Amino acid sequence: MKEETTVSSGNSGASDLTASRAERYVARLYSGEMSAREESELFEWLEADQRNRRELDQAIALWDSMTWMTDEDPIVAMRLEARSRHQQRVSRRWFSAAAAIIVMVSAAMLIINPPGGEVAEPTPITYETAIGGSQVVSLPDGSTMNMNTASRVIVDYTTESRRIILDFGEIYLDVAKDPDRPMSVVAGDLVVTALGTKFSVKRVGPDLQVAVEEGTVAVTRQGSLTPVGSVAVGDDDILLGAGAIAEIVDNNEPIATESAVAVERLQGWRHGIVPFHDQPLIEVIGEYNRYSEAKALIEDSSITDLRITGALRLDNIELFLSSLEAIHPVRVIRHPDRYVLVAETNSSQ
Amino acid sequence: MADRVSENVVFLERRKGSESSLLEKVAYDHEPALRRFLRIRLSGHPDYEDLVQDTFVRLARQEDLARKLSQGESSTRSYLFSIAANLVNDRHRQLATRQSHDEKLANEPRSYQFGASAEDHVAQRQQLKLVRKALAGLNAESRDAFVLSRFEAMSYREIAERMSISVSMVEKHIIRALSAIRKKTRTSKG
Repeated sequence: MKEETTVSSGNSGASDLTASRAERYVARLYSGEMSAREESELFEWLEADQRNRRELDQAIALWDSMTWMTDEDPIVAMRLEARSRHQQRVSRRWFSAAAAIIVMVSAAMLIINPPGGEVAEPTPITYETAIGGSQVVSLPDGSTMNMNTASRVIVDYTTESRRIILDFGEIYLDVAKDPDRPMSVVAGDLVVTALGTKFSVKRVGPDLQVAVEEGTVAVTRQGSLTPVGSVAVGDDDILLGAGAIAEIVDNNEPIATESAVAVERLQGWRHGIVPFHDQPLIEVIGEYNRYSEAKALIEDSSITDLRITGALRLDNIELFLSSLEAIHPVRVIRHPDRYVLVAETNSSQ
Repeated sequence: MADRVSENVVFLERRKGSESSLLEKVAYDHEPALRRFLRIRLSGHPDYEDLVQDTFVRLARQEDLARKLSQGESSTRSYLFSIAANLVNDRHRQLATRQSHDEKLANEPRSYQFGASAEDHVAQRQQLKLVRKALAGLNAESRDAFVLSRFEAMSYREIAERMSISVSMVEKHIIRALSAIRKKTRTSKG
């Protein structure tokens, strides 16, 4: 194969024709369409002119050089698109259900690699809230983003996509409908995509939680779409409808549950008050700690499972701890930078 | 055709160890095309006969062959061709290395090295970007036909059926896409 890929700009008409012919041969060759007659025609053509050989070599090199791209995100997106646009006749019914997933997945894939870079796009903007802080952001497309405590996001809008990268923390999105520009939240390895809906995404450490209040979102793992076999597409994706919650703990398989009440509870922070129902103390403390610089620690395993029910203001840990002391057998030792919780019986000894 | 292969594979899944019958079938179905492929790739050089054999030897050595070939007729062909293309590239590389030896430039194969170094990686990303742009600039029909052919390894017939167009239309779309990619990648080089 020659490396000199110079194109003579002078007689581009003729060379273009040669190149096209070479491309036709290559396409037919690789598609297994080439007949014996065509093969001998090809060899004759190659004999006729040195340049033909070079064109063919280049066309082959071009075709071969694309092999590695097969599973690259932008190509996968196009494959999914092509497949969903032109479905196999036999399984139409099955596909119509899958098509929704495919469209969303491919949208997500496109967003990961926003095409272009040639058009001047608005620069991504970073928003951050402190521990105990919160913020409501009106996004340029009319969507609203509520940010919870200790959160950081990068809002990356282009003419083709709306993407929010959740570095850590929790956000709630009320997404303005725009079918041409799906909204996606990228949280580490996972992508949550929606066209127009209300949902929240929480990312703390390696854990992710997605709660859907309205509409449908798709959760996909980045780059996991390799086997685009018609059945395999859905395997790694979760499609969540209203009232659904997906939890991915420690990068394990997602667990999806359905409970509108739980969704409401999970998103209660937007109103400043979070209802808890019969939840272990350790979980409630974990929630409070997200909002407080001074963390609370449970030093006594006998109280970790105390059941807590109530509507709590997560922004006021001090208030919670004093009422906890009042109604439960818990003693709180107050240090300047932390709270230590022990069982009352222990402390009285 | 596709049904026959998948039946065969299902059958094999049940009776492990009898992969030879699968190989026979692949050889029967694809040898003529493979032969043609290698003959053209090697410009009619007689070595192509060896490479036909080597391709099947490599195929037979593949782990999990039944699964790899379970996707149907056209991906079997595409899999076979990719093995063959690798062999052709190896051969070119060997020839180049042998030449370089003579020129005391050993250990530096000249071409067909993809993804070996950081520079290659950058070049790859650049190429991917150009291909994506070229495809994005096409109409959806051409892009889809090409993508289904090149990356989904579908035959013209399958594509034609899916897209409800004629086989010759499929070919036109694919050539249009290839030309667009060629123009994009070449202009950026020059």
